[in-house]
Amino acid sequence: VLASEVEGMVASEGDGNGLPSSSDSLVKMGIATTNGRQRTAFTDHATVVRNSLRELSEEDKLAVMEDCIRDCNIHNLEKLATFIGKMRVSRSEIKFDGFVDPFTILPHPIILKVLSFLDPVSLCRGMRVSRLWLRLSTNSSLWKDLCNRSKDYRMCSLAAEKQQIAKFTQDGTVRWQEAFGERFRLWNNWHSGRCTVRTLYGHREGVACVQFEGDRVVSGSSDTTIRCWNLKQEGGTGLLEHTLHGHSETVRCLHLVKNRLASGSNDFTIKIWDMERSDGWSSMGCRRTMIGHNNHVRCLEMGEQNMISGSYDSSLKLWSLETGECVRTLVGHADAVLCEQYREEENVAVSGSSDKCIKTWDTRTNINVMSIHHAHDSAVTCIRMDDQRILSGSLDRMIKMWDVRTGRLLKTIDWRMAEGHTGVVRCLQADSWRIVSSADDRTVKVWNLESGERLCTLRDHQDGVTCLQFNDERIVSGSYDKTVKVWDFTLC
Amino acid sequence: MARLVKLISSDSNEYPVDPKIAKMSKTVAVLMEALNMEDSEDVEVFEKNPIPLPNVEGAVLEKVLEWCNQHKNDPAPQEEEEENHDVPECDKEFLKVEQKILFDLMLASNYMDIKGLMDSVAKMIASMIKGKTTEEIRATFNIVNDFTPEEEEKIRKENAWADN
Repeated sequence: VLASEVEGMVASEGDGNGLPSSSDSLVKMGIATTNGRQRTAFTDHATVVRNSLRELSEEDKLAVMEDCIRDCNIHNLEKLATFIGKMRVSRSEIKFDGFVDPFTILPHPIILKVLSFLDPVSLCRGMRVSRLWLRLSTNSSLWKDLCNRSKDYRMCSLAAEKQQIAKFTQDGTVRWQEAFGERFRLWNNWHSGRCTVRTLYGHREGVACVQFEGDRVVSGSSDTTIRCWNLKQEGGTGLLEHTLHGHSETVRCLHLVKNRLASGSNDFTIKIWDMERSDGWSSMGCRRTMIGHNNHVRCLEMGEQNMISGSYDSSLKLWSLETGECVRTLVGHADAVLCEQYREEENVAVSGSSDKCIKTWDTRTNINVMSIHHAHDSAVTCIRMDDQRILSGSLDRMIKMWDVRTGRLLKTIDWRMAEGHTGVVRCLQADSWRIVSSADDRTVKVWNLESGERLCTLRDHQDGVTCLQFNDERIVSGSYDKTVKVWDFTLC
Repeated sequence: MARLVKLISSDSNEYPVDPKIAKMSKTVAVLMEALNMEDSEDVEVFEKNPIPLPNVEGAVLEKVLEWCNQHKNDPAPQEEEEENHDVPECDKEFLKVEQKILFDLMLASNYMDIKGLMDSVAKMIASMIKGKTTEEIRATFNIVNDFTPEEEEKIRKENAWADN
């Protein structure tokens, strides 16, 4: 019934005099163009339908009309489209006169499009403009886009972002706006260096290496011990949970993966520790000692199956974690190996040495794939690599970025130009958008990975900062000043 | 005689345009296709099939066509590289118009389905919002504040992260 009624409406507005002003007149026109009792019965019926439609809420009215439109044939749909267009124009013309809020005549999807071009701060200010703005600017698609599409407000990895979104998901619904709020806060804190600092006291000599996973921090020191701290516990030294003894010289390097800890020392050995712990008992302890290097073990990194270590004896060694055997020795550097990274899944390792050279290795074949000679003016002290680039830090105070395939120099963060480190760069780590570095100048610095721009400088250590690790929430750093510091970016 | 598509505005004005420009509107392109005007060399076909745009006033249609003419040689837009939220340099001058015309253009480009113009206008409107306080946004567009002071304060508090 409604379909033919609509057709009547459309037919009637074809006859020139603008738009149908009231639908009642349409019915009359319908009568005028037809004859007979049957037709009268139809118009009566149509009036009833329309009157009952009028009593509905706007929302219900829409639902009913949508159903009616679905029943239309294509011919009538075309006519309807034209009709609706004319109605919209005639109504909007009235509203455009004078100073009337132009947003009230824009269809909501268009307003959303406009809002999608806003920065988050403006979008937030828009929320308070009016009820309409509140409804639209809290549309979760906008915040989802801000979380996923924008170049800014990223977390350390896609995995970390997934995990963060999961935290804000309930019954399959993501609270995008809240998730974004957290990202925004973190992003701002990292850019302004806003964080709280906790200092862990306990080591009797300088701290050489530090690692953390979750709330567990481990640190190695020239006092020959490894200390385990629990960040969940309150108070200063109360955080110290365990002290691992075993090495007879400085513990130079650590790598913590879940409950497995690897340590390398100036005593030429590597130890694997079981860090499993539960209430009441603990199986924590040294499970294996690996002997093979002829000098200080300076760096190491574990994969699932294997581990690679670098030593003052100029070699790198690949070890089986299962058997504890040295599987092969990577020879090529002309001086002490100071830093390395092992990407087991890609069968790649990268190393830096006192010989000023950076080398990448195929760990299946022992082949030295690429060498960057004279990468720095002095020893290469720290190195990181991802799919695209290699990052290196050096005794020469520079941080450099290299193309991972060609070895071409991409960027230099020159300490003289870029408010960089004024001492030996001791450690650096990078993620999808930032670099964090530490140096003998007692500072920790955060950089934008893409631009090389310095975001902030963190000062609290009393002596050179030898090591660090970070995630989205915190940086953990160790220093010659015998302390470990936790820089927390979530609390501000 | 050149083949020209006749576009008819809501106030019944006729705008003969180059088919290439007319087709920049997807709405028009679909109609042209349906009417087999696509590859027709026959001037008659164009003459017989004016295309009505009942949602677009002549004055606005003129402005839309002016934009299309300026952009007729643009390369096809790349999908999903939408990183830039600023008004394109080439449209800045064109979009320096009264607010009413800007919103008319928004509606017209939406109806005619011209993505490039729609994006530029939306970015222009967004640029009029950016960096303003809530009160300034209301004043710019003459928007009535229909919140109670308590409601407004509550929203402000919930989103305090944006203001420090």
